[in-house]
Amino acid sequence: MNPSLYLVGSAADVPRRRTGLWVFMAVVGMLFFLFSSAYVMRMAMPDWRPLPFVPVQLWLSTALLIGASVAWHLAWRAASRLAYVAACGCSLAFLASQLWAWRAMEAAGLALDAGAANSFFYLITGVHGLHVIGGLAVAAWAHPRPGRDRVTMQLCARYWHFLLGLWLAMFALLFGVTPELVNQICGGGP
Amino acid sequence: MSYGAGHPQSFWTRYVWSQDHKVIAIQYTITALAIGLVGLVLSDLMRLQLGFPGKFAFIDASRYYQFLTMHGMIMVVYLLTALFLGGFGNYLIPLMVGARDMVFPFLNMLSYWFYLLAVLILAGSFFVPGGPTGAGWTLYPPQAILPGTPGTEWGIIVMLVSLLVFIAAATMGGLNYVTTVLQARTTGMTLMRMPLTVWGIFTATILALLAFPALFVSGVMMLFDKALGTSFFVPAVVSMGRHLPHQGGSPLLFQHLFWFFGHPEVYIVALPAFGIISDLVSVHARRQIFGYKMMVWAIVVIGGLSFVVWAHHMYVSGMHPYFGFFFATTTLIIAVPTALKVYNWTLTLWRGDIHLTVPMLFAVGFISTFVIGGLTGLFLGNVSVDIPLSNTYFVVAHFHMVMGVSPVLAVFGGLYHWFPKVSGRMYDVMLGRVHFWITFVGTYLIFFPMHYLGLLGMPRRYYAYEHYAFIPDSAQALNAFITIVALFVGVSQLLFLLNLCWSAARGREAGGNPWRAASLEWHTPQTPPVHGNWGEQTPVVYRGAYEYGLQDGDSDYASQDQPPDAVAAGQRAPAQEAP
Amino acid sequence: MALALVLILIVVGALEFHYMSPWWITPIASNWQQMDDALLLTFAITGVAFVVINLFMAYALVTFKHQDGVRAAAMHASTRLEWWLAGATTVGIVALLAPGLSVYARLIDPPPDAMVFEVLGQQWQWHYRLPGKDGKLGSTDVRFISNANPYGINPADPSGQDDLLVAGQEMHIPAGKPVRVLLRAQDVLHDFYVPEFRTRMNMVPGMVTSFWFTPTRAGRFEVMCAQLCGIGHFNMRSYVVVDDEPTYRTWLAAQPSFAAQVAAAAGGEQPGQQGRLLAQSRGCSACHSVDGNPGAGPSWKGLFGRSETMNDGATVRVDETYLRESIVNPAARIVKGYQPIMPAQQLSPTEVAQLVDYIKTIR
Repeated sequence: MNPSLYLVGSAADVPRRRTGLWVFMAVVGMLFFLFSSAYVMRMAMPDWRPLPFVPVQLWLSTALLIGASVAWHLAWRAASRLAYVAACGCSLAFLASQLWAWRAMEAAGLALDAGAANSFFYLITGVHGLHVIGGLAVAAWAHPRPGRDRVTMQLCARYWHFLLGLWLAMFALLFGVTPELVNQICGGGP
Repeated sequence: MSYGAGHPQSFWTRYVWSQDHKVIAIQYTITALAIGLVGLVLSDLMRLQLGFPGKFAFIDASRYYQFLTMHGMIMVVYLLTALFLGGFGNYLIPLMVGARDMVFPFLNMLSYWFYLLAVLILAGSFFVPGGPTGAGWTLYPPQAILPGTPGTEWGIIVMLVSLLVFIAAATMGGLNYVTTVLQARTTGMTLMRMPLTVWGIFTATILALLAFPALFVSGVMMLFDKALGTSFFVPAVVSMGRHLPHQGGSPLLFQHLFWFFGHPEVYIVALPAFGIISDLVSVHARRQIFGYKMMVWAIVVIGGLSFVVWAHHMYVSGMHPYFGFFFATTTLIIAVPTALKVYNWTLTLWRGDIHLTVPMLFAVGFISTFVIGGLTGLFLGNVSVDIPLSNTYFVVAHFHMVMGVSPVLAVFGGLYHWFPKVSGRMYDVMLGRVHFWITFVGTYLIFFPMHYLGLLGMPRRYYAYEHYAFIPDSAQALNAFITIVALFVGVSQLLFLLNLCWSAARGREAGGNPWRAASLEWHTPQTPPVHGNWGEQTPVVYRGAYEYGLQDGDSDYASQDQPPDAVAAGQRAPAQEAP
Repeated sequence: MALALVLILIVVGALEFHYMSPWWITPIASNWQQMDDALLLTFAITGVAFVVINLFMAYALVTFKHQDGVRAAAMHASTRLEWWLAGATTVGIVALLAPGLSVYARLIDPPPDAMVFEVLGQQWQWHYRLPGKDGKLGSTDVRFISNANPYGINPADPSGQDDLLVAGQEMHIPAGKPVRVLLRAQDVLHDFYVPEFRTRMNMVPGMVTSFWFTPTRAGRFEVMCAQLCGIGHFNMRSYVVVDDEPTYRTWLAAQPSFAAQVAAAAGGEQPGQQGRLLAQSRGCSACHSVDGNPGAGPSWKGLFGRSETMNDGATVRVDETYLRESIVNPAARIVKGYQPIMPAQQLSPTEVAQLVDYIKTIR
């Protein structure tokens, strides 16, 4: 085994890979925190029109992402190859569902450039989707084979739980955080 | 397992697609210096116009603003950040903590190629229709994406894409540096035994990982505003007589996001410089760094505070006035740990055994220029003193001193200092001295008087200053003087490059530890270190990195990996704290 | 040795430079003397630090230069010293911050009776507006901006009708009265900067920002744009004239009102009028003067019919064809002594013809 390919390494590297993933998740978390801050700040401008409805596809997306998380958990705990396939499948379906939601929004006249809330919707869900795609790419490479250690599956599961957490937070942000709520919390300050 | 054994390597995997942190570091360094040269030439072109306005017909206003923008972005991001983190960080971290390599070598390699790609994309902006963006390195909207600014068609898009690629590279590298420091230290290497160079780069990397996302967010949103018609940053405007379809966007939102990145960015440059200087002063004065613990805490506290000072770049932006109180306070608070570091460097010289080697010359030069740069920061951080000085040459002089001069002196000092380890040879000392004197004195002559042009009220980012009643003719003479010095200093940097290249090939053999330094990187079995760094076993560490000033015995220092019995034979333990 | 000497020279040189420099803050023309005091205090405190640290280093470099047989001292920490230094530094910081923040508190608190005027920034010129007799500025919106209404004043707002729209790039204010400056921008960020007044502020599209001061002496002061706003940034210039009361009144009486301007535009065209409005709204007047004053572009005074020398030495007679080409394709030919910085504007053939007609009227 090529000792240089530490991404899929020996047992001695387990703490390193775990730490690396935590650091990466901190970076991605920061990214979405900043998108959220931008969202809240932009919301203060007078032209803000909140998103009028939740596309029903987003509920499907959420369910699929929860399913993916559960599947990853099983892929790790039960070392189940089937669960691994299910997790990847659910994630792909999640992406498809997101695209479907985009279509629905466009069909309802909520195009990217037709309002700031719309712009954020596409941007934030798009960036989240890109991170799911990135995860899938790594998951494909970490395709479980006999002899592969279970840490890889655990790390994938951890990342997917993180993506789920991010998704729930963004979902709540896009549809639950209104200028009124922000004003209540921030007390109408600067 | 003997690391590196049985590892077939071709020229390509050894020197090009290498996953060895040392090769990657050299790749980063060469690329950063190359693009830095471009940045240097751009600054000389700008100075030609400022010193001799209108004499060089090809430097028209449009080009001037393009040079200004590219110079700033190249120097801050593509030279300094890449060099400190990707160059010094990659080379030194594994060696200084006793690791064989970075923890994710493949990712590390990718990080370099993404960085190179970002540089090439940026360079490409010179060749797109309309040329590179001329919006200033701060890229403020709306002007960055509206007509009236050079490069508004393609240049700004290329710039933003290049930055996004750079951020990916920085994240890949950053994951490596942080995880290696946390997880790959050798036996006995506790965090509080690491050299300050590692602390500086480690903290700077954490800053980078958390701050670059803000640039990413603002860059993506600006790309959307430019290319997809969104209105994140652009409100309803009438541009060149046309009502544009944007509405509701907030230019201030961009500024908050940009400076949330931009302020930590300057500490991403400064903290590694601080760390390197600590090592240089300590080694070449043969003295324990004064107050190591405090130095570590200062680095960490500065890093943390750097996230809550950003709006001192926005005092006159039109943001809510109450923010001015908060940010002026936090900004001036950050001066305290920074000042403590300066005191400790000078106290390390005190009662030292000072060898004025070329690295030491640059270290002293750093301290002197950083002091002046930091002190002028106190003017600009204090909100009401800043207001008349904002966007004048006072600001330009300040940030050049504190970003362009002192960290660059630290870069030179570091490159000379570790050159013998990287190449196995010594640089030419006389050439090094000449390079130091020209650079040190020259940059003082360039930037010290510039503060006073700012006090006078000369705005920055002006192509020309004609017929201003309040600007005396002598100011133009001063500008001409500054230009001549700048051209001379610029050309003299070739001496440095010549020295490095020639000495790498023909320099005198330097041995493994010509400076008799204590930190681990000087105690590799081979010099230059081979793939895997340490031979059969990684070293075991018994003490901190600054055991100098030993009073008894043959040697005035004890290296980190020297077993205690070998040190104790004929030596007392060195004195600890003074009462 | 040389290094220690140079450090001492730097200290001496810096102090000398500071005291002998002909480049210093402009004589103040506003009430914000306290800001200058805070600046001087900062110089004093930072000056002491600069001198002490550099001299300390110079001394150390000389005294502790390497001598054979002498080793560096072993002691390497003193918590007491560190805390002492931290304390002293903190005292210095507080000594800077306290006066700075107290001035700031006054800066952001304009007197309620301050007179008001508005500056509208546009690439690359300034527009000044005063409230009329009703003391209120009419509301504005970007969507009202047009050739005939460059300030974007809401025509339906009665308080806007008597607003005075200052002709030209020179604004007058009376000495001794506090004034609050309201700032707007129609396209990009600008900044209204007069060094003699000390205080200033960015002008942000989509917002109204402000600052206040009391002019304390008469004079004619340069206004400069201090926030990068495109290639004409360095040439976006204007003047503020501080008058005594009677001179100010005379000037004020001569300024046209918004209502009068609207009426003049509606009731009968003067030759070149559309072109003149166009030239102002599109920013042409920022670079091309009509009174012969030098600018970034050739003055239009007496331009039509004259012979111009191009930068390649050729002479050209300025006729309608030349004017049209210069407007539509500014990079085609450059007049000798000028830079090729004129942006290409989107203009319809009618608009181009109106501009040409206007230029013909300027003799």
